[in-house]
Amino acid sequence: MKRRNFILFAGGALAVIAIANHFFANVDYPRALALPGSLTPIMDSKELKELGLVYRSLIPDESRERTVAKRLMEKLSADDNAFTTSLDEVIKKDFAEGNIIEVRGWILSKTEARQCALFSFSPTPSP
Amino acid sequence: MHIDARKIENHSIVEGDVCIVGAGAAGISMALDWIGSVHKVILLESGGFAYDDKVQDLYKGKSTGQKYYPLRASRLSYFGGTTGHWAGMCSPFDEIDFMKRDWVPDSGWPITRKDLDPFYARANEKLKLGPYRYDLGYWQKEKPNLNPFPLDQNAVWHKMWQISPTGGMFDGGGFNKFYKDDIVKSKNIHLFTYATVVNVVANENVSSIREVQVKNLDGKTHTVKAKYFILAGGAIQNARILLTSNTQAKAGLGNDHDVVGRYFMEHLEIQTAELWLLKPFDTALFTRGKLWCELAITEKAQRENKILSGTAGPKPLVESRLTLPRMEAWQNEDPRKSRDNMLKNRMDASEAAKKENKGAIANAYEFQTRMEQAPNPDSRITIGPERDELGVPLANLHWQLTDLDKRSVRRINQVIGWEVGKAGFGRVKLKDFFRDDNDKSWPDGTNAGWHHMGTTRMGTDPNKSVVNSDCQVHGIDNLFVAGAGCYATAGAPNPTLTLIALSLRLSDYVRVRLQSA
Repeated sequence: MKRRNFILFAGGALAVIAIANHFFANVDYPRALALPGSLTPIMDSKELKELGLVYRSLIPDESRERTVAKRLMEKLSADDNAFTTSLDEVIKKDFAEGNIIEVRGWILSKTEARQCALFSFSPTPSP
Repeated sequence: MHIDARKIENHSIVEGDVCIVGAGAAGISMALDWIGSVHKVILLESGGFAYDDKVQDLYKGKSTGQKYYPLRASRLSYFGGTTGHWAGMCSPFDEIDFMKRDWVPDSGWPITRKDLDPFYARANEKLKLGPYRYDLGYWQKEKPNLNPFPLDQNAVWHKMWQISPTGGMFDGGGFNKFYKDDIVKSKNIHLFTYATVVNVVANENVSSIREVQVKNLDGKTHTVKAKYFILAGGAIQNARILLTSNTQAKAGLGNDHDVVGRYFMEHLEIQTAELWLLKPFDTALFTRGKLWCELAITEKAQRENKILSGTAGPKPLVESRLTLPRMEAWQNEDPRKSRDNMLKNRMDASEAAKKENKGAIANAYEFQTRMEQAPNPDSRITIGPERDELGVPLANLHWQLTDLDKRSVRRINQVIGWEVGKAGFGRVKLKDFFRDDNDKSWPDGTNAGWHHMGTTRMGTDPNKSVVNSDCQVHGIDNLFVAGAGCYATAGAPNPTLTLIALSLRLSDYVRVRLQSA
């Protein structure tokens, strides 16, 4: 293999691995993020999953687990111990700033809608 | 005093100072105001003192457009009028309801809330309500546990209603029960029952009214002459009388500009959304007793969102979701049977709900949005070729809603949903038929409040209105209209308190005219 071809091949392979990793590798995020705690007092897991599926179809950019998790993590405090408090604050802020969305008729904060989306990736969701 | 028009000599001529046509909420309130005065008041009532199927037949008519209650069953024709099937809900219109709003075509009254305030206070007395106070702060001092939701008062406020004991449901209640004796015992109020006005006769150049012709199903015909005539038969019947009194004016009295019957309005009362509380909230504010409360959209939010005036009343979801829309339950032509259907359905739902009232749903409500409909000239009463037993053409209704109505109902619930989320005590879920912005349709279960308004609307421009700010028919010196037909816009609250206030204002005006003549 000529040197030039080898470089092209290796570069292509690396790109394929990187892309595959990007799309198919396990997504690393705190599992609690996929539990929309603000909604569990009023919704069962079936409804939460439905909401998540509809959200993903409404916002195609966020149809992948990794993307949804990333969007959620961006909003959160780095301190894992304050995770739940931080989520509550983000949801409150969402509503205050009008960062809301209508999903299956529910008027939700974007954050809790994303949590539902993340929840919908769970194979056997149970809150 | 009471005179049964079936029992007096045929072709009697009755004379008085003021002739009020219709003994319902408006007519009786005005008549009460004249008791003991030096003036002779003729009060004409189509029916007697109890429901009469044959008299009720005179109210038949056809409906087209948005599905509506049978016209025969949506009002009552006997002493007390439709207060005989009235829930008694009273609350004044807000200041914005009288204003011209650039996003609401044909909005704007020629009078303000301030003009009506003294009459609201008097109407409160006629309706045997508590003090003329409709602010939550006042009632919180009077009654325990009226805790409001922690909502931003700049967007959503708690609007209060008082429930009048003068309402009834064919149970002997209504104004019939409360005011029959007062009227009958009065010496200067001459109540004629079984006296249906079939024609209003004007002078030659149709500038004033000379007399009205009265008939009944016993074949008697009488004539009533007066200095002033006030139509108080309800928005449909008033328009019908004007349109059918077309001997001298071809298009009907007061109808030179084809406005009579137009702008028919109802209150939309639709199940629109669910409110799910995240935890129990202790309040007696939404439990109906002598008071009632609904979440209302502020003037500021109405302006910002360019929407109509509306409120959302929370009712327990577990029961509400098992209850048929009233528009489906109240479809029998016989108003008593419609009432029975509706009440039975409610009782069944209440019973069934007891078994299901556990878990999250025990803290959930259904919003009934109560909203004015935008004035719409194509929503109208017309007269058809068919006639009633007395030979008067029947009134038909074409009820038509607009895109602004649909957008407003949707937006009102979105605003409340957003505010509930902001306040953090719950979440709101809109019903299916509000989820698509582009869907302009209305479900068949779209309820109305049996509130007939706007067919003889008030205004300064005769091209766009039927009566002036004194409720006088444009161009006819001594003909007036009382009641909700005069509303230029409908506000969100039930119409009775406002229509009585407006009628008492008219009553004062006529009294001044009589005294100065």
